[in-house]
Amino acid sequence: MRPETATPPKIELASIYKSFDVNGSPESVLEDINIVAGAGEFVSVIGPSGCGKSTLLNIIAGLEDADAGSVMLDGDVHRQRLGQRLGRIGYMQQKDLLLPWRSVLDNTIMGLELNGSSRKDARSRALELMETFGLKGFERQYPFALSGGMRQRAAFMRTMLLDQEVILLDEPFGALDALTRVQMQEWLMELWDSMKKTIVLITHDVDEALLLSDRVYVLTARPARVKLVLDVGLGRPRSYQAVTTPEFMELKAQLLATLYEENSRQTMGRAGELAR
Amino acid sequence: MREETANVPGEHPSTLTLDSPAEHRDGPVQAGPPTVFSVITSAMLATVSGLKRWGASLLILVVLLAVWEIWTQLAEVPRWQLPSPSVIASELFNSRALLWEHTLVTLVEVVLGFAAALAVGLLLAGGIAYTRILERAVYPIIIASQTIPIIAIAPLLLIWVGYGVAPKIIVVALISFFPISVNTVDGLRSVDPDMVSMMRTLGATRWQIFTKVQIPASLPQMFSGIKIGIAISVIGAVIGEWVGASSGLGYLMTYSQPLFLTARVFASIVVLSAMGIGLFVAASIVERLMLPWYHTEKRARSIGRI
Repeated sequence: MRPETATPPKIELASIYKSFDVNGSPESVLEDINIVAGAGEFVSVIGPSGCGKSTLLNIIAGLEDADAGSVMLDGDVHRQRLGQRLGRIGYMQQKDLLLPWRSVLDNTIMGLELNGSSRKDARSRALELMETFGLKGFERQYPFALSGGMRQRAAFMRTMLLDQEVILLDEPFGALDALTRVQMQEWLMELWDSMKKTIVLITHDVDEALLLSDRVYVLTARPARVKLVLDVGLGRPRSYQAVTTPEFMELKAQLLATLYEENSRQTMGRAGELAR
Repeated sequence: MREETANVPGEHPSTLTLDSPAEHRDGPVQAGPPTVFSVITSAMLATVSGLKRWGASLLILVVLLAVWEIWTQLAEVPRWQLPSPSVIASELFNSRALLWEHTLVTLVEVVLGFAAALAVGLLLAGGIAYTRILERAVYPIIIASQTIPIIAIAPLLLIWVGYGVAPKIIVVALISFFPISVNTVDGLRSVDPDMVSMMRTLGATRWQIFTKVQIPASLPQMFSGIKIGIAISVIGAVIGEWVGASSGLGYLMTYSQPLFLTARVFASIVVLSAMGIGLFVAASIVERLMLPWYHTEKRARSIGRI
């Protein structure tokens, strides 16, 4: 527990537990997860695939309830309850989830519209940001006419327009090709720099985690526990060139070693199960 | 920023700055909100391409009519048994006043009955998709109700509500509400659960999710139901008139048949099917106007733009 006098972190997860029913018997997915992100911090969560990272984000967003533990927003325990955080935390999933019957512009204003803003006000706010999000000239198009990267930016804009202070990103660049991904990462860094949001990013890309984050949490295979908390001491602003510096390489080696160990443990575990 | 080009054939990966997305494609798919004019233009284009598409079946129809015509003339088939197409055509022309009078009656029954089916079908579908209780209580009954042959109920309706226009409207409504409600329920349920999660994280209420995601997402399937419903509503009107009426095309057929006015029976059939086709086309036009995004996307896919 933190002393009362200190400013509470923007978002704090205190020993989160979660299990699912698999064929009648409970299977533990998350065990004693502790994650902290201060105001304006960029935090990444990395781990073997299928370890329950998306479940973790669902719990933070308020879509699912944890079995035990608490999620605190601004240290407020009252917002622990399921649903209390809905609408307060931006959440961008892997899929862009744009509504095909709405133009790009009307997709981006969805959050504002739900919040009670008039369409006219919301639209004029969105139009100002179209250039920042690289969507200028495409406002009136339907989503299907856009490329994957543009759709992803439109979904981003929908999340950002609501001006929530915490943004969760679930492998937002996973579906993009390598070059576009790098460009989107640099773009996200700039955006984050200017918007001063708290971001929690889920990824399985080590370079992405190190390049973007202030801190990286490495999770174990199922059931997921925090195996390593790595402070990324690289200076800012960073650019993609940072990935070739010795400091970066050192951090990367450390991360990869941890991940590799975890991956082989998982594989060995499965092989052991099969042998039995 | 360069856009990925994986699924856009023929595109040049030339744009390298974030701020110039306009270079994205050489000829963007026109996807803005359409005007009535653009819909009419595209309908005309559709007619031309429709001729190419339906040309073969049109040819078969013409050949069949020709064989029919020649055979009835050569074999001297009596008119009361099987009139030739030319006899039916002249009957259509000669009895046009009579046919028109009865067509209007049937058309009114169809339109009113279909309107009732639309209102009831959509309300039921909305209720079933929105509340668990209605789904469990009403949905099985709706499905079971379709096993009751309408033709068996139609005479009973005469006993209950009389010989006027009311029983016909009821039969039309009974026959056409089913595809409307079942398709709409399926459409309302088919929403991507991730989309619902997304809406919840934006702070949407259950009602907002229903109106802003579920209803628009269900429209393509709702229109499938409407098109089926409107096509079979003509059958409903004929059944209603068949069991007891004093006007309408179904009545005209039952009245003409014992008098061996076979050409008139055929003429009525021609008018009835024209009515069905016309109503179907009208529903398709409304669909195009209401779902521009759906058809633009479909067209773009079919010509290989995306």
